[in-house]
Amino acid sequence: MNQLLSIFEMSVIMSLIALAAVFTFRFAGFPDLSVDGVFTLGAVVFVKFMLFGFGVLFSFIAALLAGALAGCITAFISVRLKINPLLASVLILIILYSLNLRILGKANQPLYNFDMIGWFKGGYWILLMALGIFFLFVLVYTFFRTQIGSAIRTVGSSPEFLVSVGRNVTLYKVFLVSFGSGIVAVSGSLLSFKYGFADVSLGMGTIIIGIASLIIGEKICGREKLFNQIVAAYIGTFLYQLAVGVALSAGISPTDVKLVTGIITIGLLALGKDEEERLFT
Amino acid sequence: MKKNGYLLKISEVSKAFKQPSGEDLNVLINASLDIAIKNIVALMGPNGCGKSTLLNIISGNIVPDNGEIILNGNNITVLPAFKRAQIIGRVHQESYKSLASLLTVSEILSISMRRGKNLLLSFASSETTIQKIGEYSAELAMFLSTREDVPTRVLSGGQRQLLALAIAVLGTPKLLLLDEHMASLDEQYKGIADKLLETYINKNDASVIVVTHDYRWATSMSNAIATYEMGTFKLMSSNKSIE
Repeated sequence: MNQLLSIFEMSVIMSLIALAAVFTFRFAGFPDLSVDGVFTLGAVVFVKFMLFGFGVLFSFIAALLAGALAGCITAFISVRLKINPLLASVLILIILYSLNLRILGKANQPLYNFDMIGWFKGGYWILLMALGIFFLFVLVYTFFRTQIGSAIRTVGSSPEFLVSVGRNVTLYKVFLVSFGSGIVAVSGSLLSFKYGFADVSLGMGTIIIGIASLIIGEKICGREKLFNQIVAAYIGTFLYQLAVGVALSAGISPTDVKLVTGIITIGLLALGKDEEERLFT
Repeated sequence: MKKNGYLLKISEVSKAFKQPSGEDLNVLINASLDIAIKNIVALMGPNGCGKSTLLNIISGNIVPDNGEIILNGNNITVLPAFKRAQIIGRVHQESYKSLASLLTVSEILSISMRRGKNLLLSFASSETTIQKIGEYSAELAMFLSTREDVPTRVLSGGQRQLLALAIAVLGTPKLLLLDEHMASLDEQYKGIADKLLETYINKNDASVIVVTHDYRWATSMSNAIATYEMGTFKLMSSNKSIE
């Protein structure tokens, strides 16, 4: 039971990564690989603000804004300076390695003087997070069905259409990548809150978790309809976390999880015969 | 526009493309073309002569090497494509470029209706849009109203082209650029498209540039035919009288 609860908790936190991949890879057609750095950025900004005494909510908001700013810069340098999105996001990822260390001041920083036990009592924490994630789902689904949301989510697949009806596709791309990076940073801050510390290598490999989760979800739910596309991020994440939980119980070393995930992701990408399913083309 | 009687003035526009060999391919050489108000101009010439390039230069998708484009009295030579689209409607040669494969007919119409205005944070509705189309063509309005919830990707090639034409006239642009917009249309749909164009330009004092290889259509529907000649387009009036 405890293990299942832990899988559920990790699913709630990591579903934000898969959701961000929907915004960047799918809606914006912008393969954003800066996720590892942005995830850590969220964690370090959160812990730093907590240590400054800003409180939990404000610290989460600070992480969200820091992530959104990083995403904004990634998209902007790609679109404006005409740098390939893959390269632009990797450049930001590298910059964030240094920046995260500078913000945190050291490689690992625990959250002192904070009563974590009180927060985790009685599972309220998970319930609260699950409610938050559900609220986000409703918000995202509703927004992307509106007139402006419909236009924004087609910027990756039909930029010519948007330009021909007078829409600024640059703005839409920047918005999607910022939004995606913002929630990735929130995911990082949630994980650092759960662990009670921030570490500069906390985000290592999160991009692969996001992509693997999304591909698994899309294989099951499809992605032709908006509802299915968004639900795929959640279901895929849960199944991925479940698989990792089972693998760990079966005796796989925690240090090998990323190796196994990487190989499985390569397999899933290779299986995507449909040209549209390919994430990087 | 009013001063010179022309909606669009293209003055000495040139465009060269780099070939794989490294040499320049001069597609347009000091091309000039003036389009009067309420005119349909057919752009004709052999494949690869630069008809679509000229449309792309007018719409802002390709920047010319030199020359000037005046639309509605304003110099738009360096204006970004999405800003020009506020007064230019376009049907691309490849219909997928004119549509959004993820959206339904209703969603796509509702976005297109807001040409030149901010999009709304409300759910897409195509009721007023279809009414607007009905002012130009009752048949097209009927066609659209029976397919409102259909995703555009499942429409046939001809249906997509007809939808692309409907999108091009929404938001009442002054100039329409149609690149072989009838290539996939059957006779019935061609009739709908022709009627829509005629009613549209008469109601809105608009003009249309059509890239076509159909000489019969050009002589019957257009007021003037621009034919490619040595890097530029030469305008001559067609059989149809200019209103």
